[in-house]
Amino acid sequence: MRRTVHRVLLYLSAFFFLAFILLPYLWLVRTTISPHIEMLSVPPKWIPQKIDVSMMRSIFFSDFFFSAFRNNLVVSIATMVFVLAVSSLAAFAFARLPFPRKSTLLKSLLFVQMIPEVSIIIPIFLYMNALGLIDTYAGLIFPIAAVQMPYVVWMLKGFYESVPPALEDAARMDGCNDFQVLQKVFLPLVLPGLTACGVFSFMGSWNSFFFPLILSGSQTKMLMPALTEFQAQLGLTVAYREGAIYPVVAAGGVLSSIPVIILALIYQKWIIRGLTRGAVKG
Amino acid sequence: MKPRYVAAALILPASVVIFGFYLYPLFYSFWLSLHEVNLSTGLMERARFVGFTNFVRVFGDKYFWLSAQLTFSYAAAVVILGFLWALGIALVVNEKFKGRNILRAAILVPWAVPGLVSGFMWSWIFNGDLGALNGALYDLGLIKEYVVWMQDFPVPCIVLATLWASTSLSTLLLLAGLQGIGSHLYESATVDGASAVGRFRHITLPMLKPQIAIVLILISLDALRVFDLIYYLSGGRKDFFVMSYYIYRQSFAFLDFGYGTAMGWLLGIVTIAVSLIYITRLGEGF
Repeated sequence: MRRTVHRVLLYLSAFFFLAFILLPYLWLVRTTISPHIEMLSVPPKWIPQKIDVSMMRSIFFSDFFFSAFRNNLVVSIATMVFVLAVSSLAAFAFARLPFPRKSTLLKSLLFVQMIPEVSIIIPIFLYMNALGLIDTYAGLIFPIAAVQMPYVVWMLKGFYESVPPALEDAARMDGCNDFQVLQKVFLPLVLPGLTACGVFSFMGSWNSFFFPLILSGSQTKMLMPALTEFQAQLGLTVAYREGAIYPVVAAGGVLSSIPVIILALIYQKWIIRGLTRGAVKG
Repeated sequence: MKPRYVAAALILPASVVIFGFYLYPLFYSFWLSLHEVNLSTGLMERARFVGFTNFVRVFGDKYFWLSAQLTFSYAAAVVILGFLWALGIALVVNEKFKGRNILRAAILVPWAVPGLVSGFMWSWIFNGDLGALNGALYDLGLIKEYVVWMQDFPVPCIVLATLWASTSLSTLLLLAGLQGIGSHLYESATVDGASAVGRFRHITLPMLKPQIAIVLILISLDALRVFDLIYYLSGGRKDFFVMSYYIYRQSFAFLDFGYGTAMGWLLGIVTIAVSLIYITRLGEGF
């Protein structure tokens, strides 16, 4: 009897959590694909009478959205490559090479992650401006990469440390220098870690709002800042009430988030492994 | 080649980037906060040294303190509720049942959705005229009139949005911790006659301490620095800003860089102080 109650409560809780997670997002999707008239009905209807993707289509194929989407792709991929390249070098050093002040440097990696973005944005803006890098891809990639690096280095260090020393010793005995050891032994084994970190980096860049808000302009505007301008820029003539920004921004939000949701679901195992690697000892 | 030189070469690129875009801006920001740098000085053109004037001004700024109060109440609520929420989901997913993998996959959805979009989504749900919350409560007969949630209950609104958007990582960390607890511990406890509550208090919670510590720190830091999520959730109220948003407005809407950097530094100090408090009190593992 006790076990049954337990099972019932378990399934109820699981169902409740699942509903809480999915329903809000589905509501957003429903708003996006409802026919115009129904979109803003009072009281709101949950299931649209028929699916109308015309608004989604006109937004997706608009220049404004398309260029923001393209900018997101460029910045996210470039940042990911840069972050992985630079961080894997540093992580290897932290994991396997002895050098002075190592633990101080490690602690400072943790420390910098506590600094709020809003505390450093003004100086970054000022010298990016002085360098003429505002509204350029480089001007976005480097600051975003800098924010990601501390935890990517930390995570990759964990992955490097999990490579059995015996393999490394064997390679060194065969005469490999440090760089060759890195290349022949570690990289293949650390590939899952690199994949996980790659996904994090890509998603972090894709979703970023604050830095792009300040540092990008009309040429390189990324998706999230662009979203805040959808109403103004897309000026769709839809029969909705004045001041109701919701349908357009909702559509933009859905279109912006679908790629990263799909990524997260595909790379689930890597993400969960990467995130929780340091959490459990042994 | 000596390890230390190889190591130096390997960590150099990362160090340059982190120093250039994290540490150097921090110092430069402090330097700026000691100067008057705003529209009347043509920003940097005629910036002049004013010592701690900006900081003194912050202390007299009613709206800054309002935003600080709001941010701290929000953070306190989110730390407690967010932790309990994440623990709840983690405990459920830790059990074996049909559909467990679906729930575990679903946890990643709020994490994947950008903060700005999540905040927008919830602002739409809370909308006074057209929102799902009002619609659902009305259809269920629980309310007679629509409630303007974000106007009348702003803090619960942003706390609820945070529970949805920002607890995935905590849930996964706690879940990893739970899965690391050997079942033999529970078995021998049951044999000794421990109740479910007893097992939870004396096995689960103590074994989970490292993960709990990390989760509390993460939730607190994220809450103090929140920006994306609340961007759409201020509900149009004029006195309702969290610290990051207030600093952002002063810096980029009013272009008062001297003032903005001073406040940015204060927020940074508070954030670090909070982390230090956690680290010293929860000591383990650092």
